[in-house]
Amino acid sequence: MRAVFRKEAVSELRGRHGVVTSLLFAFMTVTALGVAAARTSPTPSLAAGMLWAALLFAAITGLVRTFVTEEDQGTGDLLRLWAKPGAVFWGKFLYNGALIVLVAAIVAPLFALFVGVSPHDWALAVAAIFVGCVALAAAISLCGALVARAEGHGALAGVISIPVLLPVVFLGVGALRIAFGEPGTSGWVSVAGLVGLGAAFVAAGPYLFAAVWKQ
Amino acid sequence: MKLAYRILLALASIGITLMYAMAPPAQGFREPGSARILFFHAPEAMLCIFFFGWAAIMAGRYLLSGKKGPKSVAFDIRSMAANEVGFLLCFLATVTGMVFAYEQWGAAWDWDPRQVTILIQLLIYAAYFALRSGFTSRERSAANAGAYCIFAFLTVPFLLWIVPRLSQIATKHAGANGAVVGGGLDPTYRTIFYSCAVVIGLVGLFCYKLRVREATEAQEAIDNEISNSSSSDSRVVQPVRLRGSD
Repeated sequence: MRAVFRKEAVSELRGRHGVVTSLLFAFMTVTALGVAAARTSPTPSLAAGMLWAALLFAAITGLVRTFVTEEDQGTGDLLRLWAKPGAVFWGKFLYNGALIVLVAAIVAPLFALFVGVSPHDWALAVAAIFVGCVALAAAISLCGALVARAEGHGALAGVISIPVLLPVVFLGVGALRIAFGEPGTSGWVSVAGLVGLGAAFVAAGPYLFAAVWKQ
Repeated sequence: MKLAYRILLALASIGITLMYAMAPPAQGFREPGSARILFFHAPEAMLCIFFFGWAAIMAGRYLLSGKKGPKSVAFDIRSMAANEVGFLLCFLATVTGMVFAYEQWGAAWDWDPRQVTILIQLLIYAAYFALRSGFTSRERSAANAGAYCIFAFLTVPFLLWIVPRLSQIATKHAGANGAVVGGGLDPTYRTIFYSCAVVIGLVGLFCYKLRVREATEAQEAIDNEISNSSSSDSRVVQPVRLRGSD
């Protein structure tokens, strides 16, 4: 697991494709949303939805490629011979999780600056974004593995990832809009829902991955 | 027996249609007459979960099968058929819900949490069919789609039970939930509602079995074609010795 994580990190440091692509994509989304909302003050619900949309598309752009690149470069078979499926999944998932948390840590303050919103409840905002990012990473890691050997995997990755990730976005928006100041007390209930969904994804991921990885 | 079952099913379908037509208008609705669409809408929404669950179980059995040989295609076919029937029921529940919303709330699509969650559910299972058709290898298609089917089913409890019941989310379905699940239906409505649920379930089961049979026969035809083409070596050009070549 550590070796797979290190391999991903070293590859990233050499090429910097994943971080740069995700960051640029998220930044461009934030810029587009900022332009769309220029000189207006979006409601907490709208601001929460905008931030999650930026994170969702950044995640799909950057994270799916961890498995797709293996197949494109022909290194997938080597990895199948060399490592156990569980180690591959956990290594890639941890790498994807670290990547999306890093992207969120950079994009969220930029979003606050551009769109002009700031959290009223910092703990709730940080918890919602962090847990949501973990759930995104787990779901996208598996979806990336499922489409890696499909025809037209680039488009298919988005098609199968987005519907599975919408519940994460739904709960994430529910928590973040309260963190952004909308009246309500159940923001932490949404975070609990995110924890449950993320735990379900993380628990099922390695088993489902193992069932398809060595096909 | 099969003919008797089909005749009974047809009669039961006619029966629930008549019951639907003769049921008295519901009380407490803006359009009391159109509220009777509940007899079809709610059972479809409930039964699609059953079919999606069955599809996930069959997908799991497919992935676990064949530890000492080829995987059992029958489980994959059942999983696919259950997803197809579940998707159809989910689609019908969405459409009947939109008709109900148009009559009662004044707009077919109101972004009510229930509408959003069932739309997400539809998208998830549409993606399942897209993934299924993305592979040229049958085994790879079945294994990947099966894994996605199980993964997708993990979202069902969150989408259909947890999210719409979060206290911060105001849903217009709260009254309907209380009426159907909480026993708020009057005896006539309750009788018709459960009759409709049973008949729609049986029709769904009938469609499922029909689809499984059709897909199994199609698979057998493909398998026979492959085995025939591999055994007909006589058609392959064999090397021959030419006279006088040596």
